[in-house]
Amino acid sequence: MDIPKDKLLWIYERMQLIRVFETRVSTEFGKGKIPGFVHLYAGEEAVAVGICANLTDADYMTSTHRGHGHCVAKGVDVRGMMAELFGKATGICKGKGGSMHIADMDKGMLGANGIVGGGPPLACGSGLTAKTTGTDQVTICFFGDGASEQGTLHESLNLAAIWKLPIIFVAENNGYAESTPAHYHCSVENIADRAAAYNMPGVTIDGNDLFAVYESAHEAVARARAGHGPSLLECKTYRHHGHFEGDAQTYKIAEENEKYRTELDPIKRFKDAVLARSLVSEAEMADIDGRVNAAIDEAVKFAEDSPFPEVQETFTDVYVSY
Amino acid sequence: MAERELNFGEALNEAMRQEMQRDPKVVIMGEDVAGGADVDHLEGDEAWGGVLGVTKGLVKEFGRERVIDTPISESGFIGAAVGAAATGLRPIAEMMFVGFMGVCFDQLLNQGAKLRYMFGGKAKVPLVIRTICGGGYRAAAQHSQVLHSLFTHIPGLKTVVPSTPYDAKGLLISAIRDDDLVIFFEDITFGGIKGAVPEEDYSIPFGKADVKRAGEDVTIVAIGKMVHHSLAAATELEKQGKSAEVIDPRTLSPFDEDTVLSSVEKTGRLVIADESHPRCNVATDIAAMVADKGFDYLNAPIKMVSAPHTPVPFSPPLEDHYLPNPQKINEAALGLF
Amino acid sequence: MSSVGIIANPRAGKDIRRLVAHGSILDTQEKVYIVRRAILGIQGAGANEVVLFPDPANIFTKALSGIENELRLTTRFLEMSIFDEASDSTRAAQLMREQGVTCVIVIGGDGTNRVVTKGSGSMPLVPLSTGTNNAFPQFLESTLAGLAAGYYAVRHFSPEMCTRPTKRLNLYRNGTLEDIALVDAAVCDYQFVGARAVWEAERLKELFLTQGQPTNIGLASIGGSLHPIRPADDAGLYVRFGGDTRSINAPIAPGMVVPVPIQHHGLMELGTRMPITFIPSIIALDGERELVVNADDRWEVELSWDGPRVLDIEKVMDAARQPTE
Ligand SMILES: Cc1ncc(C[n+]2csc(CCOP(=O)(O)OP(=O)(O)O)c2C)c(N)n1
Ligand SMILES: [Mg+2]
Repeated sequence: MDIPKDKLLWIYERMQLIRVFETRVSTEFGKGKIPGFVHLYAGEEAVAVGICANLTDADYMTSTHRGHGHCVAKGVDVRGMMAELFGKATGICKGKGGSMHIADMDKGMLGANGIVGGGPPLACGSGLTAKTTGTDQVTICFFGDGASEQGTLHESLNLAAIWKLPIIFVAENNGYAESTPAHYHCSVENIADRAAAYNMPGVTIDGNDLFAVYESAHEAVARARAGHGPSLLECKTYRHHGHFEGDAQTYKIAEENEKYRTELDPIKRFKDAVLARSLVSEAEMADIDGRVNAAIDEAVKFAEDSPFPEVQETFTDVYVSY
Repeated sequence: MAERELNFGEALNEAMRQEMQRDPKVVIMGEDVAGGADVDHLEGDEAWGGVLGVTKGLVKEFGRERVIDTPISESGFIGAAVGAAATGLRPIAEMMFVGFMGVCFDQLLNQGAKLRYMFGGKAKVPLVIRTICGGGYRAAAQHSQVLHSLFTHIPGLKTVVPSTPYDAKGLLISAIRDDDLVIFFEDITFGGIKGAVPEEDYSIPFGKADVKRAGEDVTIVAIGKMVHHSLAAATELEKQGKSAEVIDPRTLSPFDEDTVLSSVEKTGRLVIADESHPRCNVATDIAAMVADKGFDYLNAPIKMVSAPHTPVPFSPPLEDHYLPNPQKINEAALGLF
Repeated sequence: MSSVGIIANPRAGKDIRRLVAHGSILDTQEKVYIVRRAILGIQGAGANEVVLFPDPANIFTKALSGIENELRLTTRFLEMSIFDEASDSTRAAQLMREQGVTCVIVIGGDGTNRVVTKGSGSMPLVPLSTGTNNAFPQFLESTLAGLAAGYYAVRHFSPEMCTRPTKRLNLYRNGTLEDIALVDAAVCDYQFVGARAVWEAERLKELFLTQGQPTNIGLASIGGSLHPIRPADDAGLYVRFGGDTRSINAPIAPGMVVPVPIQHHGLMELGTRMPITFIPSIIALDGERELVVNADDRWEVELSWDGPRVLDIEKVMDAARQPTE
């Protein structure tokens, strides 16, 4: 399929927005402005954006501990996200969740998740709601290579298959679970090979190729919307940062790291491809870069200027027995 | 007897090293406990050695056969550790954060905790599960929990909550030598705590509380991180003319009732500091025990200092408000006079 | 030294056709079994060495670890660095040829054979089908492929007798040879290479075929319906799509039999360069989108007999029945 020009621009803008957001989070974290843990998505932008370019706000998504990119791709406001990371009252979850629990129900974003493998069963739930109420909403269930070893994922694949749920399981295979390589922790080379065991189509994709992700997602989403059930897309990708900020990354292979940050970088590849075919101009992209940088500067300023929540917020949003 | 200062993690590391040297059946398993499995260019000690580096270097000494990286399959590997323990190994499994126990709960609740009893005593489960707990790290609701009360509630499990490097080493050695399933809680904020630790191996018996500070006017029973907060509170109380005795039970199951009761008999006042949520926690359990067996010793109501009945909030001011601290303990104690 | 090589493509059989058509999933484990049987076939023929491609999915390591105690021949991995990309297979083939490997079993589809060919030179191939869209390799039990490859290496059968030549398409960009295809080169109306496979008939604009038979699946099937060309024929086929006067029914992907509008078709002569007229576009080679055709480039396609030599299994097995001299 062709991607219309406005969508190409949107895709570029979202990928850059993720990249600049994450780069900035790394800096602010380094300065001690962001408490807790952050797991950054830079390097994997083509996956989240290539998938989400096929969605509407009504569609659902479950995410992971590495969830900032998923949020941005799903259209969650970056100011609210940044303020959340800073723990401020204006954060998208009032500062109560932080990086690992960013959620935005209005955008169908059912939460980043601190529990590896926590998302897939929830995805079956939103899939069940859509199916039962007869809407055409689909659910994207993002999970990492590491998460593919959780029982919850396997149970969810089976549930989704027997109930023909409108779910696209997206394995983000970035080669590592923390410091453990996928070739050690995973019994198969391709997570998508496991789809056959659950009677659903499984496809292995170059996850740093926006177009490959977009096209595959387009087909899988159409299939799910039409009521033909779930699919499993495995996107091979790589994280530019450590598992969390502060990880020395001794387990990475230097040349590979270098290659993924340069010639295999998803944003660079997208840029090269659209320029080669003159689909988008340098000037248009430069224009987007300017807007993205401004948006992130604005988000950081907003987060810094926002107040912390009142301590009474500790006791809201839960039934407090005593 | 050679002693030097070790931090909390180093003390645990030494306990595991010495036990592994002593007993070839002791193995370690968990996510990234060695780290970098199958990464050709890594020498053993360049790898993670657990998220907080507590098992660092052990793979170099004992090899990957005994320091086993697991996939992120908590039901699978905790269950495997239970099964291995029942059939002859003495595993030390690392459950990175206590919140992740949610993933493998069946293997603990219905398998590990019950095998010995259900099998009429014909099975033993000599397994230690080490896990990180506690708030204060801004790690939000799923990574900051204090769940020792939950596990103390379950028959068949033993629960250990050390507060100093010395206790950590001696209690971990006992845990490894114990024939029951022991859950061993390590507070996330203890990384920087240092203390004198003997070089040779030694064990601290379970069910033996430690009086961390002797006092006359009020007894403070404190668990884990609360021990340090209570000692700080006691210093303040001293200035306010009240002498507090701080007791660290060290193990919650088994629990040393005698030390607590005899202290309350002396002081007539009891404060219990537990970072758990307030309902059905270890503080309420101790309070009930003292009300039952030491009612006549009490000159004032028992006071409990706990976290509120809410998940742990992320935002620093909220988390600070949420957590018990020396001041809250101090106020609770003063309120008894 | 009788030495046989094996190259397996870990990526073959995993693409989007599993989603859009009904392509089967050939999981890596199955490839491991295929490789094991091929190795045992090679050994059965008496060869004394098998040379293996250190593929990123560790297919070969896994294959060997299941048959250690059955092995008498030497197994050797190529010393090469792996980047997990198509050029790995090209370099592997090149190294095997340089190291005197007699012939190489290729486990993969048309696309895999295409990249192997770029490095294999005069070393014959034994192409085994695993991918979804294949005209070039044969469906054959790998034990037999191993046996035939082994006999060919051990008995020194003559290449003239036991191998046959194949055709290929040469693609020139502004006069310079840029790439090749073994079966088909399809000019498509896509913006990008993307998910690689070609499964939407309406995207097809022009097609160049080295062969096309009624028994083919994939783009070669179009040739099969229009004007069959056998692998041995001294010609190729050119098709231009579109218009609403004529349409044929063709299985362009597994499970996908669709109408394809035909504007024109004709034979391709050997050695004549034909221009690509639909520009800008994307060219799919042997079923996978590969090349980006920009508006200002001039592309041409030429048919030649420079394809790899392929082992004729029947002739080898026939010859193997005769006593050795
Ligand atoms: C149940 C559970 N186990 C372990 C962890 C600790 N942990 C957080 S992220 C992670 C690795 C996840 O790897 P993967 O799924 O590949 O995602 P990636 O980090 O590569 O994006 C681990 C082990 C956790 N958060 N939850
Ligand atoms: Mg990963």
